[in-house]
Amino acid sequence: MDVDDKLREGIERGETEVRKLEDEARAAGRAAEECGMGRVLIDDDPAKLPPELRNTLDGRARRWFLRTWPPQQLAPDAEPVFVRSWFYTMGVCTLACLITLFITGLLLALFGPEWWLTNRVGQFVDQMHYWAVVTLFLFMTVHWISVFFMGSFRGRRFTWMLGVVSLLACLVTAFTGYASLQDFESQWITTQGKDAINSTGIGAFFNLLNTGQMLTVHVVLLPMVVLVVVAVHLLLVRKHGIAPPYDAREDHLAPEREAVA
Amino acid sequence: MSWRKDHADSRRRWVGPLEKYDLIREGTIAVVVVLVIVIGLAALLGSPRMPAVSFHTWAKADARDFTNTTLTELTGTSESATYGPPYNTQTGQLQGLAWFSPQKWTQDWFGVLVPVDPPKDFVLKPLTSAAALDPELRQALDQWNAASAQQRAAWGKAALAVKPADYRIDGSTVTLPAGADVGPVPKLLSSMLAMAQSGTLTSQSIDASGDAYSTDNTKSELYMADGEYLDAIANKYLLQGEQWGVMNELGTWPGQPWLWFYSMWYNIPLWSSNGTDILAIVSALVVVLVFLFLPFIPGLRSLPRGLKLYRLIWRPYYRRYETRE
Amino acid sequence: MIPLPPLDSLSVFHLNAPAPYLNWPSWFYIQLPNVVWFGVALVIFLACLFVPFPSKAVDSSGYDVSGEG
Repeated sequence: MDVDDKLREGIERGETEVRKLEDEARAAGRAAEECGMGRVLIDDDPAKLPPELRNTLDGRARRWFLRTWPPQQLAPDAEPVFVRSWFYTMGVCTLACLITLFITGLLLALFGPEWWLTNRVGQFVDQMHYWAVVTLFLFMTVHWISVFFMGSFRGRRFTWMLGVVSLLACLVTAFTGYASLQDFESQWITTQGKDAINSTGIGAFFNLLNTGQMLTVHVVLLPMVVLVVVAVHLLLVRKHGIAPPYDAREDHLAPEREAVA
Repeated sequence: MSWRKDHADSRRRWVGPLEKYDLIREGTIAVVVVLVIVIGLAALLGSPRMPAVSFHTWAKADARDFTNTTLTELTGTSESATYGPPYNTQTGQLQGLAWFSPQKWTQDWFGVLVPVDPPKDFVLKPLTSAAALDPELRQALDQWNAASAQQRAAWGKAALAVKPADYRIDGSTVTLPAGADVGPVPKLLSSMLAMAQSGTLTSQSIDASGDAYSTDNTKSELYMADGEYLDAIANKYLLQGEQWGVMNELGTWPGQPWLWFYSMWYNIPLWSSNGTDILAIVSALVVVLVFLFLPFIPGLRSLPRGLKLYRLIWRPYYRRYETRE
Repeated sequence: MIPLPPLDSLSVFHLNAPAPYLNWPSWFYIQLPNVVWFGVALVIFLACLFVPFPSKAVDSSGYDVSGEG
């Protein structure tokens, strides 16, 4: 046989081998590389691990996470067709306002609480921060009211509750923000608000007139709370999926026994 | 259509038609759009900035009110001095609904947590530092400190009997045309006024203890709020409670309109006649709890179905896919 | 008339004047900017309700979108 024949034979043998491997891989549900286009199916079967490694906390957490949030569900490529309404953008607009607040807040925190009182750039960033709050509550209100009218809390009651909690957390954050301004606004709001807070008995622990405390609560404590609450809210939305319309067609919904846990 | 069926149906996975949806793309567009809107609004409309009222500006703008407030602090008759929990053991501002008084309970369990003693903290402390410069003030202070509580109360009573409009203020010298002996009180008031008007009296003079800077402005703000200057500004811009002020902002900027569910309880007739903060808070809390537990409340949770607005929202879906029986 | 502190902002338009307000019935006050806020919320709500949303249905039969395998 000449060189060309040997070459051809070698290539054919190689291709058969690859095809055999691909078939085997597909049968086993394992990852198969096709011309550089990664098609990955995550395989996390504890049976494939030695017995001592099957019961780790890491493993249990990982398998729970992948079961609850398969990657295609966490960052999907498609949504059901009924999501054809601007209402479904209100949530992400609220989130965008929150991101703007974090960015402007970061700048205000970086330069300190007196920056906006003494510097024009600081004053402008503070103005952005203020309008981001106004638009945050604007979009949050429309989101909330539309979620109510769509009955999206069906089967998603905890998600709804977290939404209300995030509204309250943002409200208190806004309040402590006003208390940290160190201008007339803070003086008035805190000296007036103290009576209501004192009447609940928490006035001693949450002292509105303590500017330092209000500032640290506003910049450190409450943003963490808001972040955690909103993150869990979003994870739950991805977990349960978007609530279907009332009276959705029967064949558009999976049979009951396949309901998501 | 029962709630139970709706609830169960909503949990069923969607296996119907899909459309392309890209969260990251949507999120990026939303952030960019919001940034543009926020920058635009900030540049066009801005936001209010009014410098804080200091003792300096207060005393220069309204010396009479400053003097009167200082007198009430010195004599322990101001709102702060008679406030109650958490500042002291008085009961002037103690609130409760019958037996329900968490304000009182906190103090019963923990004691006085934010101790504020106006005669000492607001007046005598700054005066004591200033006495190093003024021998006459030193004398007046010694006279005040040496006097008995009854003597001080008598001087205080005589001074308080004079109406603020009748004070004779010449520069920063205060004279009280009192009917009885007022002792060193006019000298103490004059010194406070002089310090305030010259800018020597600052919030640090009152708030700082020992050698630390203070970021806790409780004392100086309580002192300030006992006066009428902050109220004068608030009245102009509609910031008082009876003006639904909680929702409002300085100038013509939007305030916090979403606080209507709290502000309303100070004003709607049935509640405002019994108006206390604790009542407003409890009422607002009830509203919040209803919102929070809405998916668990029968009737309310079925309201969206009853109101049928969803037929409009999902119009395209129903038009295309709904089977007509 | 006691002098009040100045009110300023860094912007093209200055909204320093005290806001016009509606005081009716006697116990109800609402400032104009808040009316505008509620109005904008309503406009956004109605816009979302009536403005068509551009989207394209995708024929996913025979494909596996949600990664079930």
